Amino acid sequence: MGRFVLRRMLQAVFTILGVMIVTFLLFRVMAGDIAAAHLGERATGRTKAEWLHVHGYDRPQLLNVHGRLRITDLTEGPGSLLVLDVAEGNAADSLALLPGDDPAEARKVRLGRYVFGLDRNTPISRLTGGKAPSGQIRLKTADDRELLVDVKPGWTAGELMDGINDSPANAGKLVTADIAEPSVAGAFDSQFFDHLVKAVTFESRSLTDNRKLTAIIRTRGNHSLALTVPAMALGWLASMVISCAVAYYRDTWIDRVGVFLSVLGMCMPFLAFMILGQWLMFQIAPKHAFGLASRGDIYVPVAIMVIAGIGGSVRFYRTIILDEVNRDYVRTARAKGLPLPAILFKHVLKNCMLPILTNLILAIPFLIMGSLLVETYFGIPGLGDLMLSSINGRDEPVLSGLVFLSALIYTVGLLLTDLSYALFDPRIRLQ
Amino acid sequence: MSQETPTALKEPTAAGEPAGERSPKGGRSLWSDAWTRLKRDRAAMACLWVIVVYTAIALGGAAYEFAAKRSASLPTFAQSGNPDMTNKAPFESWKYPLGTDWSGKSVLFKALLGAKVSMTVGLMANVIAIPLGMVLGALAGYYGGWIDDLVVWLYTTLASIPGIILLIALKYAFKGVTVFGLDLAGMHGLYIALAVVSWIGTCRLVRAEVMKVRELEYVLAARATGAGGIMILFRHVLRNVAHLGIINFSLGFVDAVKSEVVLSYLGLGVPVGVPSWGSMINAARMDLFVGRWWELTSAVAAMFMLVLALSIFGDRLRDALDPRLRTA
Repeated sequence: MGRFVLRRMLQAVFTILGVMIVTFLLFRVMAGDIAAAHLGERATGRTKAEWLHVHGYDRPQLLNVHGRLRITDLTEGPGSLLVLDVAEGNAADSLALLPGDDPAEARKVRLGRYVFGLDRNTPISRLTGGKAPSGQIRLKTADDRELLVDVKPGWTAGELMDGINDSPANAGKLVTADIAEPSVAGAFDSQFFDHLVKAVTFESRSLTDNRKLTAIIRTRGNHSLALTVPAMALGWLASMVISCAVAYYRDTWIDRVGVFLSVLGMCMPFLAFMILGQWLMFQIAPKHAFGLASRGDIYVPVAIMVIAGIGGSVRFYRTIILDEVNRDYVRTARAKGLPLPAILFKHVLKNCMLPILTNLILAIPFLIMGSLLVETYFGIPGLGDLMLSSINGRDEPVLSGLVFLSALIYTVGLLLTDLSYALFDPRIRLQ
Repeated sequence: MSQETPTALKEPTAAGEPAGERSPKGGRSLWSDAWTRLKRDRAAMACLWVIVVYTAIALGGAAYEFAAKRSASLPTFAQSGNPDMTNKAPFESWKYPLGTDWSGKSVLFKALLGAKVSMTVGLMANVIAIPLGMVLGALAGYYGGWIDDLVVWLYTTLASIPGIILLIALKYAFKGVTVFGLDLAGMHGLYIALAVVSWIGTCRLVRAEVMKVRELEYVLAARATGAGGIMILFRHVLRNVAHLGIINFSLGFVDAVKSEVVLSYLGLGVPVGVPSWGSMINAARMDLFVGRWWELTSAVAAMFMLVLALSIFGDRLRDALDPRLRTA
């Protein structure tokens, strides 16, 4: 038992890791130009670089074993090293000169991208990601002296460093340019580990309003729960009652009508239920047809989720119950003269509970995440709605955090069902 | 085009039923047996006919688009709008039996062309997903060990991500991606995204079945005669779980059609300007409030009929091919 639990838990950890890899690939690696999505297509290279740096997207993707050029201010006195705008040329823009963001780094300027195996012979275009920088870099030191360096497009990193260090304007060595070598301690300072750690510790912050994901979930999660808890409870109750009735009257017209209706319900597009439901509510009580302002607003979405889901559940439960009814112990009980309702509701239902509970536990992530379609359609500000708007708005940390949360709940639920099978069903032996 | 299923069934019937030429003792193959059972099932046959009709409509739609692109007299879908005939109710004009939409396009024409998108999506998504799921499932189930761990890890991971999120994220990620000259931003990306989500079920089922089959005598016999692992797997084992592929094809078809409608409704499915039931529902979702019911109803009805026929046929096919799966 202990070994089984350990093995399953290890599997769960790997699954979560896999989910994080998939979300990383989908939301970061293949997401395209995130900075442009947030700042607009017209943003300059430097504003984009700054934004990328602030949100950690300028770091290497997997492991930070990359070098980077830096300029350090050597003058005395308080203050910081500034990058001034230059009217002509694209050097400052394409080299993405960024001042340090914390006080300890305030007198250093990072230059260009992280480059693997950066040395003096690296061509300058690798620092800019393909662009050929030309024109001037204009820096202002802490003691208010200005420095101008002419950058030539064909330079290597070494020539760029020399250009800064040996420029006539840099007389008296106001600043020095050198290569920041990768360190062992900083190896995990990469985008993937940031993505992983932030999701696992729930430290993600929204890219749009910098709110913490946990705070967002606290407010939005309630709206989702207000929708899904009644929907699940009512849906489960209704489908249990109907499937028991249908199974009890098996092979009569009640059974046939029930199965027929549930097949029809399953095949009806969910969108049709939503649109029709809203329209009907609009005819009856127009103010409750949209949004989530008062209690009355929740009836239609809940009703739609119950009705749309009931067909599938009834068929599923009916199959399970009928499967159980065909077993030998039921025949024995009947032969002994037990009344059918007693057999059905006392013995059969008890034996059906395991698959039904599994089904319920696996629906828990859906409970918390809400229903994306219903929430967006009815303007309910829940987590499903948030997921869709985060995908549309490229809010990667929120999205990764939400997917992590739902994967976590799903995986833990799966683990719990496996364990409960082992505990409650003596027929199942674990290896 | 979706006739993959029935034709695969018809073939052995034509050859095997009269005399049972393949097996001298007159036994019937699984396929001909299932086909006889299906033929007796009137509901299944009715559904099959509905599917055939939809396939014909889809092929007709494809042929029409092909012809309209090359001839000046036939209007293509984009050209078919008539600015004088916008938002006409059904039968207001004999030319538009199901009315027209906001741009004066015939709703009937739109719904018929929508069948082409849905049938193609259902077919293509499964053409990718079923072989993928079967091969990976068979490899995992047959070899076990690290291959099994890897495949199980892969599908558990994908199954842990909410399906609709995975679909939407894939569609976004495919924007601007071109692989082997295929533009993944358009329909190809839709097929692949749907396939990525739907191979999991097949893989799981095939893996479990192969694990059982692996221990059977005929596999042991094949091994004893010196057949190699890959040979046994693809020649004997896969052939004996092939029915699972067919069953999942018909059931996966329904899911693909449904998902396409939802994605197109969200504006992430078919490219703009391609007629599909999802984009019809999206365009008409506010129409009920102004009393225009025909576009919405046509799209929903068209989809409902297809999904109903496909799911009933899929269920009957499953019962005919493998009655044990009824409870699964």
